[in-house]
Amino acid sequence: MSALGQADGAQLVPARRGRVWAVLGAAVQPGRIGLILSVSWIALVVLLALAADFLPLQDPTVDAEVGIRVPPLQSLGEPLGTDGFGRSMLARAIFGARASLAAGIGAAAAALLIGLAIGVAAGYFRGKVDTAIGIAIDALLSFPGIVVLVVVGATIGGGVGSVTLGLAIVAVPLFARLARANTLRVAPLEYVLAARGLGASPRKVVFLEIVPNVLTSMIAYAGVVVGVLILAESSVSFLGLGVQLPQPSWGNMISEGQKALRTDPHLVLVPAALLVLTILALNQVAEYVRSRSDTSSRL
Amino acid sequence: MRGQTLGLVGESGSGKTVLARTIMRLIAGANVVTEGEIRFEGRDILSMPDKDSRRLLGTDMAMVFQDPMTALNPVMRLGAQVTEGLRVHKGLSRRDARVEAVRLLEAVHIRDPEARAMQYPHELSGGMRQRVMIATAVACGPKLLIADEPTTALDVTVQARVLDLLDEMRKDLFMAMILVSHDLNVVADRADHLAVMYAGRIVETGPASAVLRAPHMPYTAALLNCTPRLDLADGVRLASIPGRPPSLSEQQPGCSFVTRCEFASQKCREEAPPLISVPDADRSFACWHPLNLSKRVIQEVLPGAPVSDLKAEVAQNGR
Repeated sequence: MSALGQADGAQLVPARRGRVWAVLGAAVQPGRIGLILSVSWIALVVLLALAADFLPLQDPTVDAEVGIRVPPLQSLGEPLGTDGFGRSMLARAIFGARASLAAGIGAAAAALLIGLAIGVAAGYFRGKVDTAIGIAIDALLSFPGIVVLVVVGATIGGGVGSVTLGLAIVAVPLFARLARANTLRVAPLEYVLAARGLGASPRKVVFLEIVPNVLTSMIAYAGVVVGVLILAESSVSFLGLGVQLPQPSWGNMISEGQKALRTDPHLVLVPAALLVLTILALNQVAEYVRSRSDTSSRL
Repeated sequence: MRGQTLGLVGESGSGKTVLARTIMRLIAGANVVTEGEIRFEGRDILSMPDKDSRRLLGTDMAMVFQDPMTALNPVMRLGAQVTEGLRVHKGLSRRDARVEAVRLLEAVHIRDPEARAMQYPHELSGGMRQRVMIATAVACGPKLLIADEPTTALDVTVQARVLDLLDEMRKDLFMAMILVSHDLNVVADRADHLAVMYAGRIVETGPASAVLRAPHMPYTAALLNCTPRLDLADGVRLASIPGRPPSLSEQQPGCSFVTRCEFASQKCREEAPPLISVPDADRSFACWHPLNLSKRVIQEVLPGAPVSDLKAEVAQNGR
């Protein structure tokens, strides 16, 4: 028995490790440098945002007595300079990343899951379910996103939580439509029929056949949507309904900094540069996921 | 009948696939059958509740689909795919399923089954995928296997081998098989019985050899004439059936083959022939002017049929 177990293990482990290395090896290729940089950048930003509390940073919300509006690269202690209250731009940028990423990624993830459930239900069951969901989605889409965000922000107050909720509500219809369209594409395919022909229950058909095939394109889309939502969070915070000062987010840093754009451009440029780089990186990764998971071109 | 093959032939659009899928209860929405019954081991499949039919599907009857390119889930490993039926019906554990998957892939002669079980469908050729489909279908040892044009999407060189594999599985598992095809050559050698379909109806049935040697229904005869043969003289053009099958959405009275049939009469235009059984012959046909039957038999099954007036009547109708 043990010999059999060993043989099993010996066979499986190298195979799996081989796959991981093969994927990594395929990723590290000339022409993929953009992808590698993107992944590294996202990892760096996420790590910094997660570890912000443990890093030797100044408190991003407390005013300093001295050293107001120090430009970047002039002081060793403050590589990104300080803002109008003498607060460390580095600390604010990192804590701001936390708010922006939480709102962007959190809202996109929530919207993806809810949109997936709604969209697959509409596309699989069709009929009245489809009609009802379609009307609900159209109703939601008929409000401009900014109105939804303002209403949510005004109802439950500002802060990361309410922005995330508002953004998720805005993004759900996008995902639901994508999920429905992909379900309509996948549901009549022969492999779904084949699964039903094997006696699979509707639940099994949905979770084993439809969801995995719908999910790939949705994950790729989510990469793009995260970028859009981080931008949207910036706008809401810019309007003063999102993350409230003195708590930083990239959005309200830009909003705050633009008052002194002429004299101290770094107040805007630092968070703006981080925002642009992060969104670019997310788009790169999304494009890579899309190209890898596009089964239609490889059938 | 267990261990036997029924060949279901007919041209494109004649309803072969719809019939196969109806048997498997895979037709949804507006196309649900409202009349008739399909009997499997004495029970009517069509009137069964969903739950019962699901228990039947996979275990007692299974289907091999036409296009192996689309009939395998592109994001599921082959091992998981092959054992899906087993996991649905027998609740196999992941570990047992993996062992079983390798055994099944081996049974359909896939080389290196351990490695293949971990691969995805796009890593395989069409013929191999169809083998995987067959393995999936026979995993639970069904009593009836429906093969819906299993070789249509494959290269000619692979077709024979896939058909051989189906035959082998049928013998090993003592299954009844319905082999659906538009290609008489595919069916001729392998089927014990034949059923010919035209415009959604079965128009002739019987033992394969008898039907092929002496078809009763003019459509079957025409279909046989269209088959390329090596013993034809050089330069002889292959026959084709003039016209197209009727659109089933505009149903007309009379035989559905009437516009393309060289024997068509007034009666054919007015009244559709039922499926008529030939006495003592295990054969049936749907035609008012059957071929290759003695006058005595025609008189018996079609009393009052104007056999001798056939030519005159055709002339009357301006043909």
